[in-house]
Amino acid sequence: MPNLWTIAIVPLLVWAGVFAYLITIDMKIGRRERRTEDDDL
Amino acid sequence: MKGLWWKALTGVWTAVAVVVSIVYAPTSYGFTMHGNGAKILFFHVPCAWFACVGYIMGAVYGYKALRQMASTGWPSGAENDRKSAVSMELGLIFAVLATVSGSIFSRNEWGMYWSWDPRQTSILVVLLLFCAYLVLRGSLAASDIRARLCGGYALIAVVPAIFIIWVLPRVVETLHGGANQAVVGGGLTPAIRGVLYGCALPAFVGIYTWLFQLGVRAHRLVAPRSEVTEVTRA
Repeated sequence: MPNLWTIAIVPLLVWAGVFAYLITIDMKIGRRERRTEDDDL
Repeated sequence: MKGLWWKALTGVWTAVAVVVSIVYAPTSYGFTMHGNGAKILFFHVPCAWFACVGYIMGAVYGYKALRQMASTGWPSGAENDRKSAVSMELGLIFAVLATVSGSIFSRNEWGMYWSWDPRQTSILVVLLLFCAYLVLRGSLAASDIRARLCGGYALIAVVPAIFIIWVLPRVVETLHGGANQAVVGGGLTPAIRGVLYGCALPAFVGIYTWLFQLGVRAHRLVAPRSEVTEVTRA
């Protein structure tokens, strides 16, 4: 039975990757929204 | 970025929930890996719950879209149609995660990845219901007809989904007998219930809310401008 911290590091790294991806997508969508609002004006 | 504080909180809370669930949550008697085999439930159970949230929200928004369209015509229901679609997409993602994590648990505890247990079968049927919705949605080009048919489908599909998730596994013999008890309040120790409801569940609420918001914003961006601006004016 490996150390539980060794097991926990895998989902932690996966979550770090997902979190970074979500932040990036959120910022990209925000930029597109601002551009669309400018076009509408 | 809008709502940065709660998105950052979701990030930190989820990381803490992962550590608490795996490292600090108590072991459970009768499970493999010295009782640690049960800890995948802190991930598996919220995934299954949020798959249910997906099809319920999909039906609620589908109904709202249909009602708006019936009273004021297209594109008044466009925003709710988008929310319904995103709910169904998220439902599919969480159903897949619940199925995969459940199969790993099943292999670990019961010796087989898949044993056609009633609850395994029910999540598979729900998964297929979500897939059928997305196929239907992808096959229709006209936005108003798509919104009508998909809203109707989401509303009708919730009935068998409720039956096969909440009723069927409780009336037939299943390997998930303990899980059925756990959902109605028994079977879990207070410490495990504390980690599940106090730690894992809020993390999933944050992730679901964030994904939902992102999905709706992304759908809004690709929708024709007339549908989006009409909704804004309304």
